[in-house]
Parts: sequence; structure tokens; C-alpha cells
Amino acid sequence: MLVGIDLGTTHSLIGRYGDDGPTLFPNALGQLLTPSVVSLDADGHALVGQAARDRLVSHPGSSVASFKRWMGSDRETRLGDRGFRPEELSALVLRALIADAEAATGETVTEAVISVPAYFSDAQRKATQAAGTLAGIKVERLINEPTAAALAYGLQERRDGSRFLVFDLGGGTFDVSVLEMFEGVVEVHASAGDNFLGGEDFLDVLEKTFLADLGLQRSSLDAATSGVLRQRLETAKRALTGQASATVQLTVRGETHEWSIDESRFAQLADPLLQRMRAPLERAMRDARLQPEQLDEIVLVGGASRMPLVARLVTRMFGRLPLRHVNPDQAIALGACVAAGLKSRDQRLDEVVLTDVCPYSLGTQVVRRDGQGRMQGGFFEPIIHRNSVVPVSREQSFFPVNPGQSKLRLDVFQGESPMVERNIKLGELEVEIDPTRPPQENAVNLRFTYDVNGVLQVEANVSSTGKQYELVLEQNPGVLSAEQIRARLAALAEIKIHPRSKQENLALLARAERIYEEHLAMRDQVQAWIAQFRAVLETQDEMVIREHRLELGRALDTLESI
Amino acid sequence: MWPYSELGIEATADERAIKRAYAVRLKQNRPDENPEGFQRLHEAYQAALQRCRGSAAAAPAAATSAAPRPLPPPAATAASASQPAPAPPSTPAPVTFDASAFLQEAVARADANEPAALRKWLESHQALWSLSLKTRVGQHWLAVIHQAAPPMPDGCFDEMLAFFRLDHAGAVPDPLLVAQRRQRMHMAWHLAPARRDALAGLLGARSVSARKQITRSLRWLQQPFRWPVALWRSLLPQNLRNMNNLILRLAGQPPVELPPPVDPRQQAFWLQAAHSGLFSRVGAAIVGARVAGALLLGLLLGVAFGAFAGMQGGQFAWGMVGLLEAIAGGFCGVALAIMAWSELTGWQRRPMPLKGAVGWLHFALVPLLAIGALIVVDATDSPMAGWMLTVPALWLALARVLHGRKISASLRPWLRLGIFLIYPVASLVASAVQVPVIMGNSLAAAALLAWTIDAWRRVPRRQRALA
Repeated sequence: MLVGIDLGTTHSLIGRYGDDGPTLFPNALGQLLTPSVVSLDADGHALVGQAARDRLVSHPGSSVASFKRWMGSDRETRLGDRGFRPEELSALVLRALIADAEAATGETVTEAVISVPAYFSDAQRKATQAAGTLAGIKVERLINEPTAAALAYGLQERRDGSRFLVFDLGGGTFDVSVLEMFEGVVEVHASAGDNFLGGEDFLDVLEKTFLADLGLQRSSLDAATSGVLRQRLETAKRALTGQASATVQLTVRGETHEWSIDESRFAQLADPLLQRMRAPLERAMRDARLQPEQLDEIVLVGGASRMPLVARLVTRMFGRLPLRHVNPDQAIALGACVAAGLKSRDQRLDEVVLTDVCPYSLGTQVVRRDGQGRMQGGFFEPIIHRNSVVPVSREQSFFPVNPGQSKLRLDVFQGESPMVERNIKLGELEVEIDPTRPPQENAVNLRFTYDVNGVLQVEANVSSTGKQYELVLEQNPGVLSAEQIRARLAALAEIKIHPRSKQENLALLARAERIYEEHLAMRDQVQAWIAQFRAVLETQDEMVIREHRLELGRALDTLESI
Repeated sequence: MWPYSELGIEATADERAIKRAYAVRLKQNRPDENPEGFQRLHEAYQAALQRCRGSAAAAPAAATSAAPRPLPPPAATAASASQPAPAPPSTPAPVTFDASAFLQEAVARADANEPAALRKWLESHQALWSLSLKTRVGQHWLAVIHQAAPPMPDGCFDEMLAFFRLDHAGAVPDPLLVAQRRQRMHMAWHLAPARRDALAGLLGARSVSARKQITRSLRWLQQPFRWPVALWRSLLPQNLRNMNNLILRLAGQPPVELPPPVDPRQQAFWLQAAHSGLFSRVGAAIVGARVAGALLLGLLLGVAFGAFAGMQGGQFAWGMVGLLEAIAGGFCGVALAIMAWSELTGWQRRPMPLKGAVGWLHFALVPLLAIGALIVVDATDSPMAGWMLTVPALWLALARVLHGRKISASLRPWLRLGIFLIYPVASLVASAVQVPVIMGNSLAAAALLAWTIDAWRRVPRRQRALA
């Protein structure tokens, strides 16, 4: 079975393209959104989802969230007694999602299309694919998140001949895509984004202000308290979408602090983040060569786009307000399902073709000559310009600088700065040239080919000798090699995820433990409930357990609503 | 006809028809299944759309010539016109935004060299949230960079480029040109009179006197150029050296033209003064000024001594004036001769294309001198006169041969000394040797031989250059 997965910073979803179009599968708790949080319990079993999220408060040392932000880096997180790379943490989430999908359909998941932020770099994409391999599935195709959202939205609306902009502000990433749909063709004109800008950053700003206002030090809060604080601030942030102000209470070492924030203060605090959102929007519009009035709609997706600040930003930039929210949390996942359907050549999608772009420029380093004939090196010369439609193959000729040169080094860079020093080097190719020829007759034709799966192939052809060179791109720093993935796969297989049947109970226990941490007043009561529920679990009598589960759930609901 | 044939349609200006044809073909050439076919199809599709839009844009322009509002003209005329933003359909009242005043203020604010503050100020402009207005103001800024290049420190320059999203590969046609403008504007900012002291500090002036000297040189550089003043200052060789060092440190090697407030004629004058020899306008003027100065000094000293002698002897000693003036004149004459001789040697050393009378003279000077020397030595009664030609001929031939060779540092001072001593030595040797005719002949022959070796060595190089 080929599934579509939205592997988000804060939440993940899974589904497939079925008879009724894209369908999402619920997790063991009956929810479509599974928090992207991983926690390791005492006996080394992994918990994923709501239970793990609750354990962020009660067991902060063995739980981790927001690891999507570290994808493509070497950063390791210690959970219990071993370190996990972001790929491995993502793989655990994927395994949990796959179990949900298999439970819902009874089929085995073999392959997936995973959505990634459009502005993910090569290393980040490779890390996402490695996470799939570590979870035991094939991930050949990645789909850009805004494109996925557009697929879901466009096919649902069936509006022909329209241009729109998808504004995707997720938990940790921000993406913008400009698309056009006509005659079943979904054509992406441009994508831009910021990989480190999302709802979490707004939360960081709130947290910083909260601590500063109350004269608290971040380091003075223990992990549990800061977990509680983040959850309460998240609630406050959500409250600010509907009401003018919100209040947060926090008890630190027996002392209760109260803090409130109103909308205008929040807007002022968030201004630097809003300023950062301008760049991707401006770039996407410029690259798409469209004027704001040529857009038919601006579609907002991603949970964080619910903030009224965001709507105001878009209105100011585009001078109008045809905004549309399409169930912001699910749009990307639904689109990933459509992409999975496309990948498997589903008959029902025969009339749909998607063309996407390469969001970053790929090129080489050149020396430039100014009007006075002086040479200046270190310039970036794009061969595949950003937002070229993929697959794309482009060739350009380069010449040696000095007469009598016998070698030419061709660097491969990715980035947008006109100077290579600020771009990312992907590799280099050294070719031999005929030193007896004058430089202007000694062309080396450099060809870059970028395919739909994001694989870059670099070829060089020396015109004087006819020799052909091909570049095997060296390992990106932060990307696992095939052998490393095999080794990690074995290690990761030892970590078991609790069976689905147990998960509801575990989630309830985790929730109770979180409430125990948060509520000082009723602690003894909650502790007694936890002990009682654990005893019931020991009996392994399904009937009794279910009864107690419902009862405890209701009791916790009541407690939390006070 | 391509691109329409690739799409399977007749040439058309109907955008919908093109899109429909593309959609049909695309389903047979999916990007993931047939990459080559897709790329061909997509190229044709883009080309067809381009033509279609090109003709669509041309048609209304012909009908109503005033319809499309041109981009802000990059010339200074745009400075007076405010840039009305294209009004969004919902708000009928046009927003006026004075782009030129805005950019002028940005330049003024950048003077403080606080990029973060400048960014805050840029971001605080509500009108520039509008995508369409911002793009146009950005284009205007590019025009300002290319034409006026107002003083701006590089940190602020980067901030401006980043704000208008012009800091990306492909956003500007020639990144090298922008890099050069950035450097120039940064230099202009450094050169502002108010920052002269700071610049002197940056140039490494540690002592008070060095700082004073650099600030004075900077001040001179920024004054409008006037010949008499410049010549007066160039009387001291030390000034020449200081000015040259300063310009090369500021403008690099080879030097670029420094931005205002530096007067480009000042820069040209001092560079020429330090680098071009006697046979240039500036060089000759300076030498002339120095000769005049020496003669004047002789005259003044002569008058002074004369008056002093007059006080002693009761009568003004005109002889003193004549003597000192003669000393000054002789001094100048020797100096000029040495300069001319060293110029001549330098000229012969430099390679020169074989073109025009000067080129041929450059090439044939040594054999002419040598042959002339042979004639004088052998055909006249005064071989001594021939010696006066044969020794310089040999010297110049050697200078040509040695050009481009590495000469060890210990040998250099001797060569330089040789320039001074060439005639005294020639006459001494000539009078000392027993048979001046034979010696003269062999020296001239040696000169011709050295010249031939050099000429032979230079020929292939010249041929390559011609090819």
C-alpha cells in the first residue's frame, strides 16, 4: 500500500488515496492528528503522539518534540541512555503512523509519499527519506507541503484556470507557493520559504516576554514547569485568535504568577517574525512574475496561519482580502494522499498532472572580469535557476581563466547569494583540459540535471578532448550514508513501540501524570487514581479496564475544566 | 512551426488554446515518466506563452499609448516625480509615495553606519508592505546605485539590498557591477570630510605626525584641482610618495577612480606624478617647476650673499649671484641629464610594439648608435668621440637583454650607479686604453651582438601577440 504522510513539526498525519478520494486514518486514540513527539518509557519502549506529548511535562528528560527542525543536521537528542538523530526520531513517528494505517486498512504499508517544506534543502530532504528507510518503508517521492495543500484544495474546488498563492505557516516552517490550475494541470510557478519560522517561534517570543516581565530566569524553571508554561502559553496564543487578551498562570516553587497579554502587545512582539515572512512572499511573487492583482486567491494553510496577525500581514502585502482557510491542519496531509495516488497512477487521477519547481538555485563558482580586465573570483553562477520547473536539465559553457591551464575545477553550489561563500557547497569536479589551446577555445560544457525526486546529476564535457566527466555528489554533511542507515536500522529495530491496543491506556496514564505535575491542589487525588488504574491494568481484564478508563477520563476532564 | 508544432496546434495568440493543448500533451509526457519529452514540451509551452503575452502587450500599447505606466525612469528626472502606487481594486484613493525622498532619507540615515537601525526604519514603512510598490522602489534604488552612487557604508548597503530582495543571484543582471558600486559607495562614505580622522586611523596612522600627514594628504585629494597649487606641492619628492601611497591604499592596484569628494583630476595628477617619467605632461611640468625652483633659490641665495658681501666690502657683489645661479643651473643640468639617461634606459627596457616612428626608433636605437659609433671610431680622427656613442649603445643593449630577467638585489645598486657614471667611465677608459680604435670596434660589436640576441628573443613573442 502506498500512503501519503504529512510529517509535521508539531503534528503528523497519514492517509491514502482511496475510492472516496483522499482519506486520513485515525490513530489509536481516534484522532487524525498525532503529535510529533517521542518519549521513551522506563522499559525502553517508545511512545509516540499524545501520550508522549503529555510526558513532555511529566518526563521531560526522556521526551522530545519539534525534532523536524533539526532534520539534515547531526544533532543528537539523548533519551534515556542513548542518543537519537532527528531521522531516527522521525522514523519512530513514521512507524507509529504506519501502524495506524495498517490497523485501519489491514494492508501492509510498503511505500509512502512524505510532504516536506518546499524550502527544505537537499540534506533535509535526504534526511526525510532516510527516516522512511529507518521506518522500513520506501520513500521515493517527496512532495512540497504548499504544493500538497494546493493539490488538496484545488482538486476539491475544481476551479479551472485559476492562479493562487498558498501560504503555509506550520509549527516550525514557513512556505509560500504560487500555483496555477487549468485542465487538470497543477503547475507550481514558484516556491519560497523559511525553514526556521513557524508557530513555535511565536511561542518562543511569548515565553521570553513572559519570563522577562515576571523577572524569571529560564534556567530557574525546572523542565516540568517550563513544559507546563509552554502548554499554557500555547493555549493563550490560540485564545488570542478569538479574544482581545489572554491570561496565563504559572506556579514556580509555590509562588503563583499571573500574566496577561493583549492583542496589540502580541502584534508588537511578533513584528520581527512578521518581517521575516515578507521575504519569502516577495520572492515567490517575483519569481512567478505575477502582480498581486493577477492572483485569484490566497489560501492559508498550517495551524499557525489561524493567527489574525497573519491575515493582516497578507492583506497589507497584497492589498486585498480574498483569504481562504481550508481546514488548515489537514490540507497538507490530504494533498500528500493525492500525491500518493498520483505516484501509484491511480485511475481516478488520470486527468491530473502535477509539475513542481526546484526551490533553490544550483550552480557553480566563476571568476568575473570587470571593465578594466581585472579578475575577481568567488561569484556564484546559477545554472539551474531557482523555481525552474523540474525535471530540468541545463547546460552552460565555462572557460579557463589563464592560458596554459591544464585543469579546471568546477564547484557545485546551492544557494541564492551572488557570492559562493554564503552558499552551500555540494561537491566539486576536476576536469583536465588541453593546456595548449587559448582559453576562449577551451570550453567545458557543464550540465546540471535535476529530476522530480530531487536528485542532482552533474556532467562536464571537455570540448577539446571530448572527454566526459560525471560527478558523484559527495556526502552532504549531516546526511547518513547507506551503510550508516543500515547500522542505525538494526539499532532502531530494538526499540519497540507499544502495541496499539495498549496505547489508549498509556495515553490516559500519561495524561494523568501530566495533570499530577500541573495541578498542585489535587495531587494526592490524582496520584491515587494513577495507582488504582495501574492496578486495574495488571488484571488484564479488558472489560474492567475499559470501564475504568472511561471513568478516569471523565474524572480528568472534570479536573482540567475547573 | 515551433513552439506550436510541439504542442500540436497552429500558431495562435489564444492563451487558453495553448494551455489546453499543453494539458493534453502533458498527460502523455508526465514529468516523472518521460523527463526528456516533458522538458521539450514545457519549453515549447513557455515559448508559446511568451509570444502570446508579447503580442498581447503590444496590442493595447499601440491602441492607447498612455495606458501602461512606465517603471520609474532611472534618470534624475524621476527624483522630482512622486511614485503613485497602483491602487488596489478595493481602495480607490491612490497612495502617494515619494520614492526619491525616501531613498534620500535612507542614504542620510545610513551615514550613522548602523545597519540594524536602518533596517528597522525601512521595515517601519507601511506603504512598502505593498508588493507592487516595493518592487518599483527597489528598481529605483538600483538605478540610484548605478548612477549617483551616494556615500553609504557597506553594512547599510547590504541591508538596503536585502530589504528590496536584490541580494540574490539573478536579482541583478551583473553582480560584479553591484559589488563594485558597493565598494565605491563605501569608499565615498569613508572619504566624507567629517570622518577624515577616523579614516586616517583606519589607514594605520599610529603616531600623531603620521595621522597629520595622512589627514593633510586626504584634504589635498579632496580639494578641487589647480595646477599652480599642485605643482607647488609636488616640489617636495616626499609629498609625491605620500600621495601615491595614499591613493594606492584607497583605490587598490591597479587603482579605480575614487568617488567624490575626491577630485578625479587630483587622483590622476598624483598617480601620474609618481609613475610617469620625464616625458609626460605632468612629469615635465614637475621637473620644470623644480628647475625653476632651484634657479630661483640660487638667485635668492646669490642676492643674499651679494648683499652680505656688499655690507662687508661696501659694494654689492654681483659675482655671488652669478656663481650661485651657475651652481644651481649646473646642478639642474646634471640632474636632468641623469634623469634623461635613466628614462632612456627604462624606455629601452620596456617592450614596445613595432609600430610607428617611435616603435621603430625604440627597436633600432641600439644598432643606430652602434653603427654611428663604428663610423666615428673608424672613419674620423677622434675615436674618443666614438667612445661617447659606443658605451651607451652597449649599456642600452644590455638593458634590453636584462629586461625580464631576475637581477639579484646585490647587483641592482651597481647598475643604478652605472647609469650615473656612464660618461665619466667611458671617457676614463677611452683615455686609458692603448688602442681605442680596436677596443671601440669590439665594444660596438658587443652591443650589436647583445641587441641581436634580444631581438631574436623577442620576435616569437611578438608574433604570438600579433596572432
